[in-house]
Amino acid sequence: GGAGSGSGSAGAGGRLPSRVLELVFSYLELSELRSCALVCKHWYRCLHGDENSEVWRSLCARSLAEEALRTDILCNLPSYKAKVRAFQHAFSTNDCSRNVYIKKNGFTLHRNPIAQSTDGARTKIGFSEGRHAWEVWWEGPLGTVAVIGIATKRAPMQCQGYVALLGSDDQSWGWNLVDNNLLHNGEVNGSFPQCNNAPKYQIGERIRVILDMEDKTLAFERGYEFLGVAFRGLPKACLYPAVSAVYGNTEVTLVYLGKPLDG
Amino acid sequence: MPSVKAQSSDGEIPEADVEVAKQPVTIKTMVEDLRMDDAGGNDLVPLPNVNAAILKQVIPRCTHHKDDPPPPEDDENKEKRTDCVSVWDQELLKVGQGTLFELILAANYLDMKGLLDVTCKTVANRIKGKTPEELPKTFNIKNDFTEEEEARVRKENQWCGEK
Repeated sequence: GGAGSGSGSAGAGGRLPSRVLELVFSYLELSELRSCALVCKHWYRCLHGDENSEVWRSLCARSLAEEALRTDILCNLPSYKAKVRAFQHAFSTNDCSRNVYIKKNGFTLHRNPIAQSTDGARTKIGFSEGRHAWEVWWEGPLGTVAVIGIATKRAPMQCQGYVALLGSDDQSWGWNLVDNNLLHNGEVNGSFPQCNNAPKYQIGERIRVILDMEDKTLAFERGYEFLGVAFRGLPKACLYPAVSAVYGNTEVTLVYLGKPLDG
Repeated sequence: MPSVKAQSSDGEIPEADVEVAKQPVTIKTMVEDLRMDDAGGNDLVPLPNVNAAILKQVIPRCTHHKDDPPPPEDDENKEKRTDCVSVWDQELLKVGQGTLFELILAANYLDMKGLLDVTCKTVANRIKGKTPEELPKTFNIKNDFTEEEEARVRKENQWCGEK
């Protein structure tokens, strides 16, 4: 008895059935769900236990553009939650050259045909710890310089001429897919991968980038083949996935995958 | 008008018109399975999971909403809004957290979609705007994370944060 009083039975909130909690969660935004995950283990499990639950399915449908969900851009993401997370980590509209824009799908960058300019973008979220993987690919011509890599918040995202912007100073590290050079601090750090007759990049080919902030390394994979560590001794800074491009109307897509699957 | 008596977990027997009582799907199923509509009003529908105080709030709501059209099929991608709770329901739901949760559990057990939706929306509204520290206190829930576990959850979920 005593359930008629104001405070009622203590702990009832902690034992709501999952089905009911999911219904409550389905009315909340992502940042509110973040708070819910910290309330107690039961709420945490209800939210994060099933990455394809109705909560994540409806959040995915509400947050991601139809243009992204309809295509195969996100085909390597196994769950609705992974898709929502990828969108949170996508290219930032507020952190890119004025000569590029992020397309409606939310994941693809388009470079306007501006002469004598190199243009790049960073993603919305940078990393100072943990291990992270993302895939990136050109959907248009590369031109002479097409660089993928990482940058601190301070690296410039635009400059004059057609140059390897990513890797042009000590704030960024890049791999130019056109000539296979590794670039940092304005210098070529060698060729990558270190083998003879490395295949040329094909438009649409997805390259996986692996950033390890514990080991302080940056590595790349192509197909399911690990190509090797490209950079070591990365600084203890917040590093953002980034790209830089020169070709008019070319497009680059970046999709965050989460923790690398390997050991 | 034939009536049905429901026996709550603590033994009380609130009475209700059979048409009103059939709104909760659980009761409707019981009534129809046992052919109680035809019989005299002496059979009891046992509801061991719902106590009398809650039942006394659920029954008036059923009466109030008895002529409501059935809710539309959920549009899967329609924005889930929390501001369309009727004024009458808002009054009913001006209760403490404990009672609100008991209403949710009753609505879930009795399979009452309308009441479940509205009570869950109310909880969602009470969650909005609160910090992770305020939530366990607001809902009288024990935070059973260790400090380490909580730090790990925070780190893992940083990407969910403010846009």
